[in-house]
Amino acid sequence: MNLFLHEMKMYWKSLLFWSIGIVAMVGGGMGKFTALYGATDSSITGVLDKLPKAFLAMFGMANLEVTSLSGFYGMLHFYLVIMGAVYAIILGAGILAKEERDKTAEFLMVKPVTRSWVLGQKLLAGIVYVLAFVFIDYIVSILFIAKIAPNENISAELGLMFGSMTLLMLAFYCFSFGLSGLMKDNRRASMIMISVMGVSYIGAVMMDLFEGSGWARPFILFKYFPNDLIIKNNTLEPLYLGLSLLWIGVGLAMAFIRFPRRDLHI
Amino acid sequence: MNIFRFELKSNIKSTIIWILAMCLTVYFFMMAFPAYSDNSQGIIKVLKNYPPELLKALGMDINQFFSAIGFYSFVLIYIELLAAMQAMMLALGTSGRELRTRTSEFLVTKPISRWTILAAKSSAVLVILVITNLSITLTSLYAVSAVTKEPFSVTALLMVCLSTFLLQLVFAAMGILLGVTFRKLRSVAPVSLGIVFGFYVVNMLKGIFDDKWIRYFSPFQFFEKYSIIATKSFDSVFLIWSVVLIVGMLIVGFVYYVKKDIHAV
Repeated sequence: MNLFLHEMKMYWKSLLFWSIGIVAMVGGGMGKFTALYGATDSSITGVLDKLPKAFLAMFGMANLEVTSLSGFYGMLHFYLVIMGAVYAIILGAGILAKEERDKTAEFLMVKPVTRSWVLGQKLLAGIVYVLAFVFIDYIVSILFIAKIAPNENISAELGLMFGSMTLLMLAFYCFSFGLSGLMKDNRRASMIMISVMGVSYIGAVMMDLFEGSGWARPFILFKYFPNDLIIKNNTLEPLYLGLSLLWIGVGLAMAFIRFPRRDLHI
Repeated sequence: MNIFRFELKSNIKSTIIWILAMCLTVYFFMMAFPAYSDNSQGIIKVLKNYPPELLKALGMDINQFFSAIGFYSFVLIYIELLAAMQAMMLALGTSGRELRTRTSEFLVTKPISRWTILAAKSSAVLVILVITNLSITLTSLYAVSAVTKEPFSVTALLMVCLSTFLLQLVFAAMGILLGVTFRKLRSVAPVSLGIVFGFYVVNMLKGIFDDKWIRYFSPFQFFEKYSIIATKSFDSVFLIWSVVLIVGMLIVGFVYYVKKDIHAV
């Protein structure tokens, strides 16, 4: 329990800074929406409809009706998910690897606990932080949405968006956790995860640009639960639910199978 | 000279990967241009009905906006994101290498001044960034000319690429400054990721925070790509501002490094 509490203490400050970022982004973004929300006449939608899809894709507006509350929030939410992924990667790639990096691994490993126990405590602390990030994001979003559009109810869409965000963040978190447990060189683990995230981001934009690029979806995490489909179908696709669970499972397997038996690099 | 060569050697692999990644990104994005061009006929027709004065006031030149080079400056933000990441990680990793690996003693006890050490490291960073930008520029030239049959201004494209280089230099100078001023540097990637993405998000939300002064603190916004293409010149205020930033951060970094207490492990 001590280790869990220790890890919890280590990260609250950084979460505080991230929360400020979330508030700035949701607040600023939704503030912009008020201008659009009042003026939902056909002139704006008319122009938007005529714009080339690639143009809209660049602003993350492809397939989304940005004059509606859910569409606009969906656009904003995409950037929140990216922020969340960055947070999850930094957290997951650091929480385990920092012991070896900061040469405190000996101190920890000579304690009368198994390595799996250490893993479990650290994993749990990180998951709590991932959930806290999503929770703060959710609360902030709900507050701003209620303030700007008190009469509209999009809680079903919001629930799905945040559900998918939780899954994606956990996938990023668990996979970086596993990778940093697996690899001796923790720098390489975080580099790999950052590349995965970069490819996912640019890949997601490219998928909006190119017609008929649906085949690439399983490889691009940010396209697992695209907000336009969530708004349209009001459901998360089971295939991609399964795939994200698979990433989580692979990440955990890498950590719990390999880390307890590998040599620590001190 | 040894330090210079050492830094080049230790960065060569990652540099090649970065160059490949950025060139591929440029190429693939430009491959989307033909479809974009076809889809934009409708909006061009609509815009042609607007009074030309209005479009001019909005800074929109239809021919420019929907041309290949316009599309290039449009997708450039993603290349700039990668470029900024590379510059930041490279500079922070290079200037903070001894700090991170706790090998400062080894380097500073050599019979060379600290000034020389940091100068050698900075020049290695500069050389790598120049090579990177040459590759991106050539790829861009090739990709733009591959997707369009219409003639385009090579000067404008080169200037847009030059603005990417300036952006990299700003982030590299920032990286060098941070690398020497940090007390502790545990790992390079998360720090760079956080900083670059922070600036990137500010840029993405530029429509939201449309105060003018924010532009001075958001390197991704220093140069308006469209006005570069239209006027074939840089915004002189921001050209000076970015040079001041680069030189200023380097001077502070050098002075700090020469004077700082370097702790033995």
